[in-house]
Amino acid sequence: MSLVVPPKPGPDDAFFWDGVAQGRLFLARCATCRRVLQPPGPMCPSCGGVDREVFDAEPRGRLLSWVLPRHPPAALPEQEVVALVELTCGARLVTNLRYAGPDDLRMDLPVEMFTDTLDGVALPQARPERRPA
Amino acid sequence: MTESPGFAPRAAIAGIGHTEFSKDSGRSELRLACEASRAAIADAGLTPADIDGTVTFTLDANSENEVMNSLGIREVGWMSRTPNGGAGAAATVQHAAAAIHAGLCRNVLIYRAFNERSGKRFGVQTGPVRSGGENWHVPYGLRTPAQMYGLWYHRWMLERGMSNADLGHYTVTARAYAATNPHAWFHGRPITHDDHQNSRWIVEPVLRLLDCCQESDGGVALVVTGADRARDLRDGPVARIAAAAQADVFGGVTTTNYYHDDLAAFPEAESVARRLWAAAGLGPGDIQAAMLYENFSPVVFMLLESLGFCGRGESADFVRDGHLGPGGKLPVNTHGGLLGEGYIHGMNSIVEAVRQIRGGAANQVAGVEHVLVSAGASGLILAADS
Repeated sequence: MSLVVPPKPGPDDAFFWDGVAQGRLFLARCATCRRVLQPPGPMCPSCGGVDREVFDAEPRGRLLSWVLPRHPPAALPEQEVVALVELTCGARLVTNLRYAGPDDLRMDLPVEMFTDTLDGVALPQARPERRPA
Repeated sequence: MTESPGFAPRAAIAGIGHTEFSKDSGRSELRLACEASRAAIADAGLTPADIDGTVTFTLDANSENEVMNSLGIREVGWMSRTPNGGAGAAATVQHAAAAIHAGLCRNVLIYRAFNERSGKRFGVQTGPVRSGGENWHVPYGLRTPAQMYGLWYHRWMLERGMSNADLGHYTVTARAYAATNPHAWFHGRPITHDDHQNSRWIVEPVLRLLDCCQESDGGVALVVTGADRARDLRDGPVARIAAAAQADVFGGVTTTNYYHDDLAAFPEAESVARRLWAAAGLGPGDIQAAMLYENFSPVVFMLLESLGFCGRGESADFVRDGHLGPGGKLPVNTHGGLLGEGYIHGMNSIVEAVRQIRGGAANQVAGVEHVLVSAGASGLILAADS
């Protein structure tokens, strides 16, 4: 069994995990009013629409919060920092912050998203945004 | 949308009962529920045959049938259960009071019992995700309530410039109250701020061991009845329910409250506060003691601000200045709280509120007229009626 608890995709979020499997960051928005739906539910809370479209989210955002689980500890070193990220489109995702030093752990750190496979489970991950050279 | 003006029922908490709070009860959860219930019914001056309604948590494992059949309750015409786990603890009283107020029943038994330490430990995730909602946090390593809540608490603290050391001042106060409460698991065991700072990290840099509530075995029960009847049943002050409220707010998620626009707020608790103050016609200055739910210590700070006992960003100073302790401006969790007395999902804090109203609590506050209970997504104001 993987040390990572795998997601169990359902009708409302299978598209997201299909994206992750392709190394992409798919999110859903309402096909009628374009409201971003994250976490995605079956109905748009703005207009009541049940049709939605999947789009490639810009894989950038900022760090809202983070924790370092100590008891029980992270199952893998890659998951030592669990982060809450707000993407540029406004959606929020829990993820792991990777390749981050102690000075990176601050509110609003710019981050970029990538996909990694941890103990057999593909997940979106965040890392400090690489600045232009 | 106009908010409901709140609910001031013509009802009172007439009976309180509980088992010991332990780490290994050695008895079934059903037996704990029945022992606590029997004690609460007797405390109210009633018999099981008088009970005609029940309320418990959706999470409680003891069925209404089992409890009735063991206690000898003959017939009930009202049964309900409340959502949101411990955050909804005070909603049990709202349900009971509403049913009585509406004339659906006369005497409601509320119970909550579990072997949370010796039995199935809450929040230990060993298998696959249990619902689609967990897909958004469990695979990344948030498996316990401390870890899940920690992300929200941390942002709330960061925006105020607070650190874990600020939380320690609350825990010292709570453990001092517990030290002089014979019902408390940590009776006779106060801590210092250094003890708090030297306790191991559970979720760095937010929660240390001494910021976490206990895991307890035990049962708590309440009996709610009409306010007039409650006065007839008992000499001395009666705990009239001046207001009872609960609230969920759009975007909220109980354990992973990451989706409200303002992460440095607790919208559910603010909604409950507005409803309580409006219904009771009271404000923070009218409260002599408060029981504030703390599955983890940051929640006390969040509730102090959400309820208006201090301004936004002022809770760390308010706590450090000693206002929560004996003789302070607002004694809080005088039983030792869920950190110090025990964790029966917040229900033992309602028992303490009733003790303070009646007089004779282990750490009795002088001149109590109103006690507020907040569990975050639910709350109560009790008034001393004589």
